[in-house]
Amino acid sequence: MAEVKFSARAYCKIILHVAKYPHAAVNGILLAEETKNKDGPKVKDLNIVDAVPLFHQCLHVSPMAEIALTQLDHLSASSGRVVAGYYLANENLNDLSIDKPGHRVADKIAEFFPSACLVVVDNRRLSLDMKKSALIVSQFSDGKWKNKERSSISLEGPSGVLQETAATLLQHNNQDMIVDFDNHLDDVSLDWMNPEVNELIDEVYTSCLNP
Amino acid sequence: MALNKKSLSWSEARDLFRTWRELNERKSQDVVSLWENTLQKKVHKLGDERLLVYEQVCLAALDTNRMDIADQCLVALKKEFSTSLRVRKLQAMKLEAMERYDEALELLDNIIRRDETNAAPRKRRVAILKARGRIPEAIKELTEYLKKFMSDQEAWQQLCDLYLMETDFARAAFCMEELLLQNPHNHLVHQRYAEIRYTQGGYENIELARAHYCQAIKLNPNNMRALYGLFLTSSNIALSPKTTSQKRKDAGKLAKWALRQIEERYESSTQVEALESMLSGLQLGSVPAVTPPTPST
Repeated sequence: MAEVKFSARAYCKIILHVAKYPHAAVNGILLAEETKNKDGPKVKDLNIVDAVPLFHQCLHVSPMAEIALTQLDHLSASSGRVVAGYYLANENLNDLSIDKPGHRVADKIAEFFPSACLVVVDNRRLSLDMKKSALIVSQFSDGKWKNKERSSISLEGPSGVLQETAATLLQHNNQDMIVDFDNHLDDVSLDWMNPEVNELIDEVYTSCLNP
Repeated sequence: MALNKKSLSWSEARDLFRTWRELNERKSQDVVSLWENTLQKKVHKLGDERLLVYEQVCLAALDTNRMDIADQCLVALKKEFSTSLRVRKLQAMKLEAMERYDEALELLDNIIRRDETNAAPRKRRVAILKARGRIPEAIKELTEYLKKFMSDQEAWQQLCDLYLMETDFARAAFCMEELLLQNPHNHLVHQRYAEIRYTQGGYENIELARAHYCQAIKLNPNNMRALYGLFLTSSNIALSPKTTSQKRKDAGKLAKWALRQIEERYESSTQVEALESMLSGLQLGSVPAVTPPTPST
């Protein structure tokens, strides 16, 4: 069974984005390293290295999503990344469903990246200590989205370190720092690639790794 | 930022609360922490304004699941207004927050019986259906409400969002048309209407979307979503086989103009570079509903 692995940056940015807008549904894109060996074994691990937060205002209309994906495709190609998945968190606390527009975006991603994954954030699992991973992951295989077992989803680093990193960021209210594409459209001087947040995550992660 | 807020004086906190109330901002976490750290001790200095503050803090506390604070506020308000329907609505909202929906509904129906013209409890009924995930029922309830309170813009906006959740774009567009009639000079309404029409798809809808993006830009030249949208719709029209050659030329010009406007608003060259490649990308290939990422081989 292929594993899906999330880097510190990807995991923390998803959590921060969700935490910044507790009252709204949010979505975003997952990026993976580009791999050259296309003819390699079919079942291989998927390594999600980064997440790009997109929207929190209106997730059901397409124009700005098209703009964001076109720009993102260009930006990620120049840094050796590919669009490899989609994440969303619903407005309703108990809602773990994936709505139709979300599915459509994810299907499109899977057309170009066959082992794409689709992540739903379990709102109930968000807390200040972040003990358990809050991500529910499905992966595209044989034309369908299949739920991944928790055991085949892993987070970067020794067990517990990344959860601690996410918890530390939340405890310091760092969710205010994250910028999504909606914020960027409201003020183009805000960078939705979040270089500052990336640095902060690396810093906190390292300090959690070597306490 | 959190540290700054702790050092605010009580009068600054009061002014901040006032601004947030007026702008209807949902800063629940900030409201609760400012209340705890600053304002609570000085509440006697607020005069009659304290009642508004109690209501504000109560809502914020419900939003952040601080039932202890919500209870404090409710007790204080009840002491002042023992029979107020407005306070009773807050109590119903507390039940809602605790997911005791049936009791909340009972209380709300009670309020509606006492005062048939009271809009707020009727809207809470819709909110409860939404919280329970019963979107079609919420839509039905809200349409009933809008038959009685036709000029409620907030409700039209909410109905639009509910239809979008159900991906019923035609009805969502209808709601935005109602809002357009009520605010012909609001660029955000034009922009959202255009977004819905574009998502709906089809040549006529895209032309309509372009017209409303243009109107939004006319009303606010700095609306980035409208500029991007104008670029997107114009390049779509320029590419469509249904377009006559004169129209194609005009659409191409419009797309270029929009792109230049977008470029002017960016400082860094990397963003502009991405946009230029986007222009060529959009004009070479066909444009699918969601522009897909292309993995390079």
